[in-house]
Amino acid sequence: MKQSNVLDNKNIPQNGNNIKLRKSLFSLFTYFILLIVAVVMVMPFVWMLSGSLKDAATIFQDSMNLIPDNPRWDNYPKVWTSVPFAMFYWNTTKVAFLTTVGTVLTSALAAYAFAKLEFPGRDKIFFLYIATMMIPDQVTMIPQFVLMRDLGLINTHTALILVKLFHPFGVFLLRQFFLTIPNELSDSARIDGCSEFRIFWNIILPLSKAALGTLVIFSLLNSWNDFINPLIYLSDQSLFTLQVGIRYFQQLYGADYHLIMAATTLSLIPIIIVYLFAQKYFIEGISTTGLKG
Amino acid sequence: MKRFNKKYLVAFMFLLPSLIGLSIFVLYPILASLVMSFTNWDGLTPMKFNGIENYIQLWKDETFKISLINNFYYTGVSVPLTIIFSVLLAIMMNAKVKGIGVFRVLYFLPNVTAAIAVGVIWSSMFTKEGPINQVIALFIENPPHWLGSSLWAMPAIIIVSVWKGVGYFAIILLAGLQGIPHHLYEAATIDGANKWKQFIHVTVPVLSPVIFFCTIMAMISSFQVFDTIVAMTEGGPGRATNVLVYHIYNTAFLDFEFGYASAMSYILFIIILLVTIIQFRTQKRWVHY
Amino acid sequence: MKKQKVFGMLVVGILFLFLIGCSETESSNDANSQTGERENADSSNESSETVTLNFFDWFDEENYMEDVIAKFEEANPDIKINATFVPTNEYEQKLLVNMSSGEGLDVFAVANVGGMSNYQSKGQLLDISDLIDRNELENLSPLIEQLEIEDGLYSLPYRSGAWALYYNKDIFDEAGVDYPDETWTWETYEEKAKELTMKGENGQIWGSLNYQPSSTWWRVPANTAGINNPNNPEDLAGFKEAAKLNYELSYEDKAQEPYSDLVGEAGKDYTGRFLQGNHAMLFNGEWLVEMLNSAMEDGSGEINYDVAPLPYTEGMEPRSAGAMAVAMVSKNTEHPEEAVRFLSYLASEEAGEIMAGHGVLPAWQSDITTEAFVERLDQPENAGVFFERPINSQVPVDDPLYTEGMKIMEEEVSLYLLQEKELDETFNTIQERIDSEVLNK
Repeated sequence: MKQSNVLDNKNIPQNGNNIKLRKSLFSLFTYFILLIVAVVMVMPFVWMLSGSLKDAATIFQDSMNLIPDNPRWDNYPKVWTSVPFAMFYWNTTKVAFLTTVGTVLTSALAAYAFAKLEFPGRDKIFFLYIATMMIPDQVTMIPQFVLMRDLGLINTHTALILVKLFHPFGVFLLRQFFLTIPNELSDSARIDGCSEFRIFWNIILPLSKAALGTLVIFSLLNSWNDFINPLIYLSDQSLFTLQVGIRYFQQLYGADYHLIMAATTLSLIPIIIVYLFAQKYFIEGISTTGLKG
Repeated sequence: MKRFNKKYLVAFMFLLPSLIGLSIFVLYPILASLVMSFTNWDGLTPMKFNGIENYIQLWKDETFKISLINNFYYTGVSVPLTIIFSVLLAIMMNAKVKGIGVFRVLYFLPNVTAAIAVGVIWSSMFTKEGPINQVIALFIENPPHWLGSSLWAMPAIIIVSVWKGVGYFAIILLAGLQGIPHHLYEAATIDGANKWKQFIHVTVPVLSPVIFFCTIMAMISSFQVFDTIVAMTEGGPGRATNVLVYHIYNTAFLDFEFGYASAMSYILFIIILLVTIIQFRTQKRWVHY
Repeated sequence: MKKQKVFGMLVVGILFLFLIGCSETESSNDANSQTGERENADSSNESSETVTLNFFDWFDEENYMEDVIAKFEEANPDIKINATFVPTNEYEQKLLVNMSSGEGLDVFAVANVGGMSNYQSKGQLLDISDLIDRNELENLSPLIEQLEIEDGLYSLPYRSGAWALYYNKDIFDEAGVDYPDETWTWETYEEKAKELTMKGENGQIWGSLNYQPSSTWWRVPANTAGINNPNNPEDLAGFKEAAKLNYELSYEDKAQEPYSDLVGEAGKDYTGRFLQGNHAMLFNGEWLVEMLNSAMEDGSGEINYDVAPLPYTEGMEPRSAGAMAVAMVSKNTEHPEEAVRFLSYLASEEAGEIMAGHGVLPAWQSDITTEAFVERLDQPENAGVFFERPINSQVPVDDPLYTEGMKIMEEEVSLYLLQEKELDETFNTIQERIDSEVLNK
């Protein structure tokens, strides 16, 4: 936020109070609009929380009353026990964690090869990665399913991990970052007799924390919020992830919006907490990769 | 010579895990899908090639056409709205006001939450007596039935997708805004340009590559909308919100028409490719690097 | 530079270990996952000669099927049933997914025979004609005869559905209307629904409860006239009448809620809405008894209700409607003998008694099963009505395209019920779509 600002015209000579007044009126206006947008962005979450503490009769009757008079905290234990929520948490965490670790490892290795090593056909293979990135997931969805079926992986978490693990985006992202690291560092290490893996592990990776962090967040979010793959692959309730779990809950408790809101709140808590703690990385990761992509 | 080979070998070792995985789980499926699209395979009985039959069939398939039209409608409205709002929002966020960090966090929040949860929340807000209609009822007499009406179901979905997407693109655009060199504005001011002229003649042209990038990203993802549809309308009422990927999913995993669904997925790919190419072709007219 | 090579290989090795290791832990950790189960099955197979059968069923059946399975395993110590209960809405999709994986399932159930003829046409079912003991299943032989297609038998019935008219006694008393009886036709239903619609103390009282527009529950009046297949143009005319009746109930008689209020998941919760006590009548299957009673036990409401025979079509023999649930064996099963043994047990009187005790109508109709169904109920008083009338099948046995035709009819009629399309236009479109999308594909 330290860079220059459109509306903060420091260098413009100011002609007395008139301009000062206009300026502060303008920033008041800006503030007002920002606030309204913020309310619009947050309102659905507030409605969700508030609804989760009401009952079927009051949720729509006084939906303007966002702080319920008699908060019904027992909606939460009810939701928690009516479907195996703890299991959903565990399954989602497990899948997201393994997917992320796998993606980061394989992508970093490949990105290092593309950015810092020489081998015949390098650029052609890299072009293949880029081209693959252009192809929508839906194209691969059906053959992937057939493949998993033939490998006997229907109704397992392995299938969910494998379909996400090799997305070329990670390779692309890290390669672009590795390119910005000067070669002098690795060259001198090479002269000292370091192996390529040592250079990769001890020099390049520590310098790439920002990019790795971005990839971790992307991959984590992507896997955590995945809906279509669990929908395709999982039949057994005990294997469900949060996203299919919440859909399942929605079907089970059709008209009980207060319980559905409680379940949705439960499903969102982990990701919102992680987001609030790591928001800097989320937002900076998005804005930088967004630009470079 | 020998040394070089070793060097290559090491490089391939680094590449191998990713390349093998990519080949098996991405590249092979891409080709398999293409082959499948020329068969009538149902995933169960033996595969039979039927040439371009599927593609001819698609041409006559009313539901496919409807899903295509719906998807163009969704894209055509949601993408411009998302981009316009995110540009405005980015400019607002660029203002030096207190607590801007908090705003950024709040704006971005919808984007990290799962589309399925978002759909569930909004579908409860769009009910006949829900909060949205309670607000609208203050102004008009008969608020729309939203998800219960062919006319209003798609606008409801669009509202949700704009709400979810705006924060994401605003943040990318904000980064672009902050990269605009200050002297450009100074020069404009000296030339006597007011705020609006500065916006049109400085901000938009300099920001145009970022806007261009955002538009492409938004378009591509708008052709892949699925989760929100499942949570909010299941393609209904009737076929009013049946979009491309929803139709592909149903054809593949409910009707088990793998061949036919693969053909649809290739059409989706071609559409995305065409949209991207057209954008790149026309960018010369409005994108300034 | 040997070191480099070794290092590189090591990395690859570690990565592969990671990948393989990951998939291994997956399958052995998830005791319920398919692969895991199969491994278990194989290992236990070697050690103690027990056979594990994978059984798929939809979620609503879990509580009694678990009892049925327990009883079966007790009597057949050499067979272990590994049951998966799939969320109801996703069930048919999951069946196909798991069926196509070949070894995924041995025995599975579907709620109506439409699915059965579809899977049979795809060659996924085992012909059990020569594997079952017909003497043992004597009681079911009329049903079994119905199920024989293309000179083979691919499924056994274990549940028979029966629809009835449910009514809220208090509302009838308050309105001074006589309780429904066996003389009611659909005309009577409409007339009384109008009469029962009123402003009550706690708001609007609706004469009739309707379902979400994107469903096919509205078709039941046509079923009582023996109409069941939208792919048959003559039947379509009958469905048109049924759709019209439901439309009139909502928009002309104002005895039902407008359909636009029932869009989405909310409209599907008929149990909850009936329990709120402001709907006088609805037509539904026998399973609703159990759902109402257990919801009342959980404290989700309290109503005073009873059941009466389903209204019938004027000028025809009074008949009820219902869909038979059937179970079948996958063609790919490795244990056909054991699978058929379990299948026969599902259809047997003993299993029927357990199911009847949970409020579903078993296919096996005898004094024992009837008693198990009626005896334990305090409410409704007239539970016997489920057994009184002959039942029209809601689903044709021999049309593999039935499900596709129904889907089209459901989509189009939902637009009619939402007042977006006219009746004639709706049914012309259905006819056109069925011709082009189902029959001439």
